[in-house]
Amino acid sequence: MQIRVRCGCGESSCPEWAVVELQGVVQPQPSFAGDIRGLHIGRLCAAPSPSSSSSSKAGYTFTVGYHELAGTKVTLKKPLLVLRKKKVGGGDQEPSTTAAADVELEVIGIIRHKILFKDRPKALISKPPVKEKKTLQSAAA
Amino acid sequence: MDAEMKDADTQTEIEWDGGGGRADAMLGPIEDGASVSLCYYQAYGPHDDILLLEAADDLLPDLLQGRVIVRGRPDEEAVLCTPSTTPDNTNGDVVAAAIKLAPGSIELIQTAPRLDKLRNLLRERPYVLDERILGMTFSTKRGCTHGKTFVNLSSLVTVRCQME
Repeated sequence: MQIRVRCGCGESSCPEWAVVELQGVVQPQPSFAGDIRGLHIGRLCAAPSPSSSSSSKAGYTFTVGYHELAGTKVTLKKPLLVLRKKKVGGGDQEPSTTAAADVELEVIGIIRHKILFKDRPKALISKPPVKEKKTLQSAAA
Repeated sequence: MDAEMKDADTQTEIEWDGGGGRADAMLGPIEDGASVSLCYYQAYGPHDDILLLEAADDLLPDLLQGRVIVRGRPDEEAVLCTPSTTPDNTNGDVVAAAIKLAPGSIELIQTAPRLDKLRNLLRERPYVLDERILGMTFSTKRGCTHGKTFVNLSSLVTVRCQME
């Protein structure tokens, strides 16, 4: 039994995919539980580089609801190939391997980088109420 | 628990249109403060037909040029054969979409040839000097169905596939 790995795009023009790696689980609001297709998850933003001298790793922030995650773009030690199982009509394979000839693997993309968010998210709603309290106190005093 | 989301092009259940993905929008040189909206793709789903294969840089050219075959019997570990191991084988609002939650990837481990299997196959049909076979052309011998040819045996040299 043998399965051929094919690539229609070629070495130089293989579409680049990406992995966004998060710690934990992304859970949609219960009202969207039925169908999350097309649902907006969050906003990925290139972080203004605070340490301009060590700019080897690009910084990103990912804002999901009231949570903000800080992450970096990481180059994978070994690239990942995105393969898709594809059924093919037999005929061009050896007759003795017709069962396996029904399936082949097609390379549809390559992943060389991932954007890694490995820290706990920062809550975005905790600060504003504190400021309001301070101003109220100063106003009362 | 790690959660991974793959950003990419379109895919099966709704139908793969072969269009370009938006990973470039995320990975390209983004200026400070620029942002990309990330959403679930319209065809988001389990997509069991999509796999991730970890491929070292030295394997990439063979994989991208279609010179790789996965071999093995159903009761064996899958073997990925390359030519070097098997000599017989010849700026508006940009949106990026997540297509699937990736549970893991397939890791490749280089392994030694399966010599036991080779020995058993050779034992099935020991070499006998046969004048009728000597009379045949080389190409005819390769196509011989009852003998063990080099093409059969070279599939035993392996790179093993393993699910993480």
